[in-house]
Amino acid sequence: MKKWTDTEIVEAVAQHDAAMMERFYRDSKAYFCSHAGALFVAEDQVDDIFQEAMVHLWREIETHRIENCNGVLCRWSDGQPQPMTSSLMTFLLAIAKRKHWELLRKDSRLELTDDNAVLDALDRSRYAADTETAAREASEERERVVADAVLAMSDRCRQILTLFYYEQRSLDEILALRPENTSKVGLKTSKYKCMQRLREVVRQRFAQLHLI
Amino acid sequence: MENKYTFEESGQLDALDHLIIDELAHQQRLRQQMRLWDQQMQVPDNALILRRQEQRRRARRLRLVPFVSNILSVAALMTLGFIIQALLPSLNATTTTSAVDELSPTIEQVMPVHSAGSEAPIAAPQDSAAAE
Repeated sequence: MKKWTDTEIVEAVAQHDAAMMERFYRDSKAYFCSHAGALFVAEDQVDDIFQEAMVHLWREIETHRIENCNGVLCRWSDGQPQPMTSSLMTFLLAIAKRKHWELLRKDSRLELTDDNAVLDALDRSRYAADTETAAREASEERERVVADAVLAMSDRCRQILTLFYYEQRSLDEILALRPENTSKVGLKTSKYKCMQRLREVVRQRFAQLHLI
Repeated sequence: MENKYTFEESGQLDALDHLIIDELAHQQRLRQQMRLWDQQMQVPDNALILRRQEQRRRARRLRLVPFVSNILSVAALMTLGFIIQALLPSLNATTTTSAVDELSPTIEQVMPVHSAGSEAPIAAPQDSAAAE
């Protein structure tokens, strides 16, 4: 059975090759489950943490933060492509480890993600040589900024906003699905605050990167 | 294009909101796809089920073979034993008679039968003593 290289996997994910993405997912899941214990991840958290780490990795590939630079995998950081010193799997495990750590230190009383943590995660900037490249790269950068902000969002906010905007459920339906929300007014306020915080983080980062 | 977000915020969503919502939707679709793959990994398909059933049947057959052959071997040995036992008495008689015949002279050889007038009868011992 052919073993795909990291660059081939990155190319396939960037081109949304569904078969390859599935293959990569299955192989990675098997490897991750066998090594999750070394990351001190509890058994009931393995699936969630792996899924979040995989979404994070895929978005990095899809937004070209990780890409194939002339046969070598590179990752854009501080406006420059840096050759990756680890394999995709090692990188995935590192993301999972960080997500696990965030899960452990997450205070359930906090509703919204800490801004500094989000901005730290968005620490990069790029400068383009020509206008056309600049426009394209600015668009990609905006996509990355938004992707990072959404990935860094708290689970609570993600659930509420997903139910409302993606599944288009009413507040009453969301209230029925989320017993931790005790009132419709409270839920509406939470939804507004979650969305508002996202907007602020993204706009702030856009300003820092001169994208607006 | 109709604004599909028809709730309280309809008409209030700007370009940035749409960027955020699109990203949210994309990540959610990725998660849903992964959950589907997870489900497929857990549920074996029919071909796999049939293959496993066949493997189990083959394993059962393999376990049965030595057991059956042992039974047959024991039965064969027992049958052979019975046959031998049945044949044994007749085998003994035949063997003894011929052996004796081969090794021992006949009575006629030891004690030849008198022919009429040609030979003196064998004297009894007391007759011999009286003659002396």
